[in-house]
Amino acid sequence: MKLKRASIRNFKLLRNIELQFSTQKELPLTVIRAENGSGKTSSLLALKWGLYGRKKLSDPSVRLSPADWPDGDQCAISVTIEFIHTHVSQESGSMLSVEEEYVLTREVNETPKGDFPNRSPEEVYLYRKTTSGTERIDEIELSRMLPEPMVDIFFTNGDAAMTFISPQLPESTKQEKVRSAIREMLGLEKLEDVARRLKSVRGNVNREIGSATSSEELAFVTKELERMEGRREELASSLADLEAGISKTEQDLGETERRLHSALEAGNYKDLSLRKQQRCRDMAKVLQETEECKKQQQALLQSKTMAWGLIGESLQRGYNRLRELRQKGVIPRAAVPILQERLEMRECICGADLSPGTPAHSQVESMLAVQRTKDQHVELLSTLYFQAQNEVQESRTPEDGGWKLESRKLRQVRVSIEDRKRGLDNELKSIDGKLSDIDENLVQELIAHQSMLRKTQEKHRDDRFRTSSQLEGLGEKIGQLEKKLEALRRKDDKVRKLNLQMRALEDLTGIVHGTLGEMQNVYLGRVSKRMEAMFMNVIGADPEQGSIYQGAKITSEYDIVVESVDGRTLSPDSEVNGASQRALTFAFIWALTEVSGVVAPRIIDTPLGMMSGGVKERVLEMVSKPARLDVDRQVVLFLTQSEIAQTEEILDSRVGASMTLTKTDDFPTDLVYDPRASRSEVRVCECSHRQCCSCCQRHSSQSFNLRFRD
Amino acid sequence: MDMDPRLLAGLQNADLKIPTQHHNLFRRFTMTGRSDVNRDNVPFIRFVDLWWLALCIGVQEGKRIQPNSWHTFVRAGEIYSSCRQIFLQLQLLAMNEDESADILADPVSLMGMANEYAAAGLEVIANETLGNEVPLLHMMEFVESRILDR
Amino acid sequence: MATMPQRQALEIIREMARQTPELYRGYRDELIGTMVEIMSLESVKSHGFAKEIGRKIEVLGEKLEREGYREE
Repeated sequence: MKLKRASIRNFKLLRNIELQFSTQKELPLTVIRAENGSGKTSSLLALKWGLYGRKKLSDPSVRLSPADWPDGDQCAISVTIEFIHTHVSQESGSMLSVEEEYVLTREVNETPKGDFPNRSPEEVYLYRKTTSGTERIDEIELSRMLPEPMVDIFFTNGDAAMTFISPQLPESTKQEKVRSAIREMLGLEKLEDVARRLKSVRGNVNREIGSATSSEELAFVTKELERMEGRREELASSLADLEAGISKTEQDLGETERRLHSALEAGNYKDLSLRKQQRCRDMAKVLQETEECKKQQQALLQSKTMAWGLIGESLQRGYNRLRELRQKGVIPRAAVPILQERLEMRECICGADLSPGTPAHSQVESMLAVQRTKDQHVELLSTLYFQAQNEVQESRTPEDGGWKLESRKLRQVRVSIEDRKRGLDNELKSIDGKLSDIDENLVQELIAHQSMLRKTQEKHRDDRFRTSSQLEGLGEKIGQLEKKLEALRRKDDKVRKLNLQMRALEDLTGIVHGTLGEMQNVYLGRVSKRMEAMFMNVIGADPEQGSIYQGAKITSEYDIVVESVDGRTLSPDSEVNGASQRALTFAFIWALTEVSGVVAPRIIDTPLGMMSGGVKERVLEMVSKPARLDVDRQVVLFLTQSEIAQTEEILDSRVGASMTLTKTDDFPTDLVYDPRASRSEVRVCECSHRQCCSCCQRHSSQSFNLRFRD
Repeated sequence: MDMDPRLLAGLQNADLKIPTQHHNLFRRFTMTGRSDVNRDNVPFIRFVDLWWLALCIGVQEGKRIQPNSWHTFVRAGEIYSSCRQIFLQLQLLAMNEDESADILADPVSLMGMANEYAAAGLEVIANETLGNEVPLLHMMEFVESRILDR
Repeated sequence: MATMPQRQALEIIREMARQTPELYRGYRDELIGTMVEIMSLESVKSHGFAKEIGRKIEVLGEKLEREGYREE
């Protein structure tokens, strides 16, 4: 199939546009240039919908009508596609090709209400152009021209193409996708249908033999064989279900483990809680130390060293006066203290008894009274002198280094404690943040779910093993029984005719299975080789020059792998960089479509994202140049101007048709000229990748050296 | 060794006073009569501690003030036993003030001198408290800045 | 839409048929012819096609009998 033209009405912002496609063999490329948000994806969707209807949209419930279409107003949406299809028929063992033109129109009405499309049933009209006009044909013909399973091969956006190597999917799913794609493209399904049909006919013939024979043994064996075949089918079906179940469980397990990992990224709840408790204890300690330090600072403000620091000179002078008096002999009146002391000791210096009642005691007492009476003031000064002596001594040699030093020390301690407090504060905040991020209930749920899935997986694997073993055993028994049956058949003349039919059936079955096996091996090998050649060319890797990537292949298990220089195979989903992943996926799709020889439009939205100049050029070479002259193709690329940059020359030589899509809303931010649009829409102009005009010129057009087209 | 008993007896009738206008300052920056307070906001434990610092500042400034109105906050005799070094240092100060040291025999005059120095020092301290700094830390820095290296 | 492999499937069918014993002269060609017919019938799946396929097998059997083939 090759597209000629597409008219789109009221599909998103494509209110009334027409796309023209190149059908030239030598210039197979159609480039539709559009910046992001300018209708690329909508155009791809419109074509998909036009060809397949809503069932092929990723979200069938999404509105198709323009977003600003008034609620409650009916909107008529239509896509009309003119295309050419090559019919191949088999005539007497040879193939004949005939090209015919068709017009397909798909229409639907929407009466939107908010996001709800409120859509009528779709109407599809398919016409074949004949020499005398047009002839309406059944739309079921469409599915024969472009089978639905091929949609994802032929309608691709750069990201969706990655599903064949996506790390999000389990291995078994990716393998199945690759296997399915190969089967679909190679048309193996038809042969498999024939194999099934022949098996069914065999069953019928066997039953007839069982009914017609006079041999009880033959009748029994036939019946038994039928029963076992039935059982084998049941087991095969169970096995297929188990495989599907295992694949689904693998996928669910992967998803659960990803969610669990994400939930636990914040941390383990128990560990974090313990850490929080520890840090709270540390914080309490720090607060206590702070309090202690403050008390010490307050104590310093009431210490005697503070006065000595502030008014020490005055105090010293005061003491010096006392010392002068002492030197002059004015103080101390030591007599008073000495006499006082002796009285208390009850013994004089000379040894005389001064106990109360003794004459000496009375004498000393009267001497004391005299002294006291004589000079109270001097006594006061004497007392002060003796009191001050120690004080002054201590003030000169402070043990703690003085008030200033002490104050500075305490300040440093405070700073250090504050730093620790800040650190603990931050840590506690961080722990609280992580704890609040952890939904412990969710974590427990996910752990339980993971455990359940693992048990299910184990059970499924056990069941698979058992079922496989049973199948194998049954297969052996069936094989033996079939041999017995054949021997019995041959002996029984009554069922001779049926035996001959059985012989023919066996030969036909042998041919079909042999063909299937051969095609699978041959074409798997061909697709693999072609994919490798394309991939290596696109990424510019030369094995002989010692490049990291030495090759790529599809294994017999349908895994796509990359071979590296040390003989290892690399997994594309985790061991290959982004640009190479894209190149590999495109190479696979391209190889598949090339080897199959399917003539169908290959429509790709932004294929060159993430790629550098050299890689872009090589990808364009790959998609636009046929591998062989007898392989026809049509390629439609939706490209932004940035993707086009550095590939202009290749496009010059390969593009057969080009146009530009522009969204009117982009004025004045990006567009130079006012589109004078009464509503938001996408417009199309005939500008190529080197041109711009009043419809599509952007402020950035100059930097891409685009020529203005009047 | 204790203070001269006559002086001690005289102190029973001598008051520690502050200018009435600074009473709030004392209530704000001392822990007297308050519990469960952030010590960073109250640099001084007792009224007498602030009074004594103010006295030292007043002596440094060489000023004595007689305000219009005094507020008596405690009798000297009541706090003597817990503030012995203050009274010792006060006597030394008195020795420096008065060569004859007659003031030492007159506790009321002694305390009067002390109160006037304190009043003068409070003017300086009151200015220091006008900012947003943490009171305890600021007071420590203030005292550090006023301490003379000997 | 016929694919290139489908065109080449015929080649492989012929190759497989060559490996089948020629039970009578022309047996292999008859097998190939029947195979191609069955494939067409399967593609179209018109009314009664399964019976038609069964009939073709019967025809092969009858031919084998007419040609005097006997199983050992």
